[in-house]
Amino acid sequence: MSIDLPGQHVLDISHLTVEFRTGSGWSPAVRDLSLTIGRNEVFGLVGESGSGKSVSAMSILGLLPRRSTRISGGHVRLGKTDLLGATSKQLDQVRGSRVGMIFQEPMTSLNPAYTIGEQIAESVRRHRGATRRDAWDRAVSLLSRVGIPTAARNAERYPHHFSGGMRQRAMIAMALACEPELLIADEPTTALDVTVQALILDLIAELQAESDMSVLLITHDLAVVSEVADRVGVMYAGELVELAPTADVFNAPQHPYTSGLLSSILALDSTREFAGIPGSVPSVDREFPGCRFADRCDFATDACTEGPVALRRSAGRTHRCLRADELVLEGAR
Amino acid sequence: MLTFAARRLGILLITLVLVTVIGFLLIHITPGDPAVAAAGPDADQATIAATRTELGLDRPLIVQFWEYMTGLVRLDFGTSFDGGRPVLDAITDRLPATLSLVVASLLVALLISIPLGVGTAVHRGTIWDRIGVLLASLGVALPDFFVGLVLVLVLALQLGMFDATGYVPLFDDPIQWAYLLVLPALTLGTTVAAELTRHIRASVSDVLELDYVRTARAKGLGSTRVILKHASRNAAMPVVTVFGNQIARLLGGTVIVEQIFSIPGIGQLLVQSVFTRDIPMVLGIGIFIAMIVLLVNVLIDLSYGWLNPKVRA
Repeated sequence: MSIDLPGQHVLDISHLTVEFRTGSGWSPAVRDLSLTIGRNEVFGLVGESGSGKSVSAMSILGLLPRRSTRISGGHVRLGKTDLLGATSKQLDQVRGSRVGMIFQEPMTSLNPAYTIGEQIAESVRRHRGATRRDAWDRAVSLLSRVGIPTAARNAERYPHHFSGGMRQRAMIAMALACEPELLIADEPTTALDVTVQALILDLIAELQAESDMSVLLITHDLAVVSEVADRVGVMYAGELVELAPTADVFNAPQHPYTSGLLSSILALDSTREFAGIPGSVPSVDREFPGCRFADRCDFATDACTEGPVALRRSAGRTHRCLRADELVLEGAR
Repeated sequence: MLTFAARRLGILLITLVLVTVIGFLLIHITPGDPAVAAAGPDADQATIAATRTELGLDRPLIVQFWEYMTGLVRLDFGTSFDGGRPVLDAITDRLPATLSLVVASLLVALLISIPLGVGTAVHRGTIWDRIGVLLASLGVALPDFFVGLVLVLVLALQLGMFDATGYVPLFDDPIQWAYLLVLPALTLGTTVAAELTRHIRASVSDVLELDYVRTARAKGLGSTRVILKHASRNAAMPVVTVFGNQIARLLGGTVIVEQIFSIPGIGQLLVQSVFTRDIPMVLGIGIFIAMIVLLVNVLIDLSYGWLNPKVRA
């Protein structure tokens, strides 16, 4: 687990605001997001679809489409490198080298026209100036490391020969090809069969444990986070609403939204009723006078809708709820 | 991959036979008596009848067809009614001029369409994109002969930059050869370029939205490499198909453009032969052009295998 010391952070996001072009101008999809990821830490970023978690991850590497999105505030630092102010050339030196990324859709994230080995090797050639032969050898050993059988032969095959799980393993090998400081895994298990999900998750945890690498794990699946993350950030409608060590979030959530998310996990051995949260995530261009969760919250008072609620620290916890101190919310288990 | 190629070649042969049958029948049901034309304007009935027997036109159609087909297998396209010259010789004599025109036109088409198509796709929605799309639409809408006549009028006759017409074989004078080909190649090439630009733009902008392009960017490959390596190969698939169709169109276009610029190519020969009712020549040229178009399409089919490994399976 990381200690919050400046300089120890691999990734430092502060007051990040990302806006989308909508019919009526620009609307913030990520609002004032601040979080840090320590060395060798696994940070889970959780939220429903539309909460802004993937957008946040994409904006770290500048992968958002330039014409329909803009970053209107904040900064993102990778170690001492300012990523938001970086030129595209500087960003290209970070992408794939210091930060590796894997995506939700292993079926479409690999180029159908090139062999698996080539797609891994080109990254090694690009960032390490390796020769074709050396880069290929590295690709084969990486494939073997991520659990692809007969890696030397499979490296010469094309993505359509691979199953979803194998492709995601190949994506992981590609992301780790240059031993990055940070791995961003954007819903890495969502598109996979349940049986394969656990294997991929184990693999990520294993690879993280045997290196210095930090992981930003983005998922809507709390069960995934509970297994591997050291700390968790919960996002709702573009805002971070809670940030704490994983056990704290699960045992004693401070924000009603977190509690609602936890209660919507189906536990077979539990006698508790499956609850869920009424309503749905508001669209990005909807503005609220106060807390963005207030109209779906069982505990909302008039005060909640009066003015914007800032991220606050109380009793050693970070959250965005005015009533956190008086509420005792249900956790998981 | 080998069975893939063999299958394609089989289809090619069948198509070729069909083309020959249809061409043969079409020419023989068109009105007008080739024997009359071959015998000359002042021939009497006896001469015409003699000419008919000499050319073998008095025999049943099926016999004529069988003879023609067996000849084709030995690459014998028959002899011209007009002077008795072997058809294949006449075609190969004219081939370099037409080939020069086609290759130069393709070069013009690719040099315009690739940068314009990729550029507009990458800068989609900007003013450059709109200008590019406007130019492409204009190019598609304007017919070959119109573009050619305007080029001749402005660049050759008004500005005197080029000679209006003419052709010099490549090995006689390469510089003059290239110089004289500029206008006809621009005439034929621009319409093809316009069509290709539209397809390249559509195809590249589709591919740029795909997940694996994002993966390539996330690897830090740099936008040039992302576009040239990861986007272009997949974007090329639909474009290559259009390219194949455009070659057929280009060969058709040579008929008009060779007339405008007095290029002694196959297109010009075809026009002459139609006027003199030289059946073996018209048929031979038709089959020869069909062969080229089919061959190009086989090459294009084979290129799919290279572009998309899934096709090889």
